[in-house]
Amino acid sequence: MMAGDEAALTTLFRRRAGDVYRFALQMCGSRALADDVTQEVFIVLIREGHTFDAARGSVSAFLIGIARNHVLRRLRRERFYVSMEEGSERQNNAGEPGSAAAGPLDDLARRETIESVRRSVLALPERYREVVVLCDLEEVSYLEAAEILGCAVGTVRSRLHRARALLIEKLRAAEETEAVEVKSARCFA
Amino acid sequence: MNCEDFENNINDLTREQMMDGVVREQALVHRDNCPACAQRLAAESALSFKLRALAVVARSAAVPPLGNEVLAALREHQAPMSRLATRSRFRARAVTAAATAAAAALVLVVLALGLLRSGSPTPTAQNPNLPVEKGSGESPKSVAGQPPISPNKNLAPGRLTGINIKRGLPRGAALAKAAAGPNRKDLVVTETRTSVTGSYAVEITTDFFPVGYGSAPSLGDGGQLVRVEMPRSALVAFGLPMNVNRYDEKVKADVLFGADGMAHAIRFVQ
Repeated sequence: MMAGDEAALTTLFRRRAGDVYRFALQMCGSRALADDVTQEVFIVLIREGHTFDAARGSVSAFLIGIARNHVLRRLRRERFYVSMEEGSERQNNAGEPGSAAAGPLDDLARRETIESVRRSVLALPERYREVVVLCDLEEVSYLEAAEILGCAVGTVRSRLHRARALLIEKLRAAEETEAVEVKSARCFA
Repeated sequence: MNCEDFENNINDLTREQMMDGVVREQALVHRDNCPACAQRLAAESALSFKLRALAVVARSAAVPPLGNEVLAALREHQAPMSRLATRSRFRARAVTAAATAAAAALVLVVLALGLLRSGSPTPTAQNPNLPVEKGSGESPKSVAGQPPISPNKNLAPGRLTGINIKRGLPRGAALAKAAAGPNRKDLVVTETRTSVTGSYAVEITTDFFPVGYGSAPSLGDGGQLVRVEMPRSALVAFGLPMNVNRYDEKVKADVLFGADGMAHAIRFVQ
């Protein structure tokens, strides 16, 4: 691919673009931004692929490491802007197929739960969000996550522990808020 | 195991990571004995379940196709590399061409040196119409019944110069030898050279043999040297060996005409 083989690039993109795109999407919550980051990662790979060292980690870790840098840069640059995709995200999620065995109410509750978890993950600080995305959503091992993040395995474990505790708090708070909203709705009815 | 140890291992327990079996057993026993830790483990397990559901949904998201920007970057990256490859290829070809030219020049030089050393005649030496050394305007006379060979008057004087007399024996000495009679011991093969405007020709000539029984030519008589072609049998007449396989071929000779217009001496040229 470094010699300019287009077929090799296409093959590598087909194999690894999903990991990069999902990581970017979970980190920023925007499909457009994740798409941009995915393309940028492969552009960087073409231009600076010679810096890849197989002894330091896998290709996937290398690509996600580039994606992480790009996502954090874009998030810091665009944190003053409000995303207009939230509604469309929900619409897209509403179109996703649910389990066939579950009823419509269960399916709706499941989607709401998933959306709540998504928002909670996005609300985490970046250093906690990335370990949750890597270790829990992408199911990357502690060692590989440490390679991507450039830190020790113990750091990954401690950050993940803290991140999960934060997530539980956020989800509990979100559930309590929803319960209050439902109660007040009944009062007005 | 106390609550602090349980907290340290709760992630591995809920995320089903590889852990020590004894520690796992101890953690499960502690969960059964401690309601707070049991509640904590339940919350973690619920979170893991929700995160897994989110991961499943995320994996079903459509991955964007390979963008044109990436392909453009690939072609942009490819262009300098192909230019570099072309340059290196051109350099390799130039080096190969230079080496080939040098080798060809070396071979030519070696061949030229070999030709010079071997003394083989060049086409110029085989030219039957060699000019008269001294242009006198007189028509050359034949020897032994052969028609005279006219000098090539188109050539400028000095441009094609027979220097056999200069390079071989001195003219006076040659004439003196010719006057001495046909002595086989005096048969000397002399290498003469003819230059044609920079080209370099080599001739091999015998010594001069006197012709007939006339008086020996004197040095002050002057004369002309005329290149003629004779039957090869003429060699036998002068006591020289003849290759019978080439009996039908002509042999070149230089005839020395005296001032009286008579042939006084002859030498054979190869």
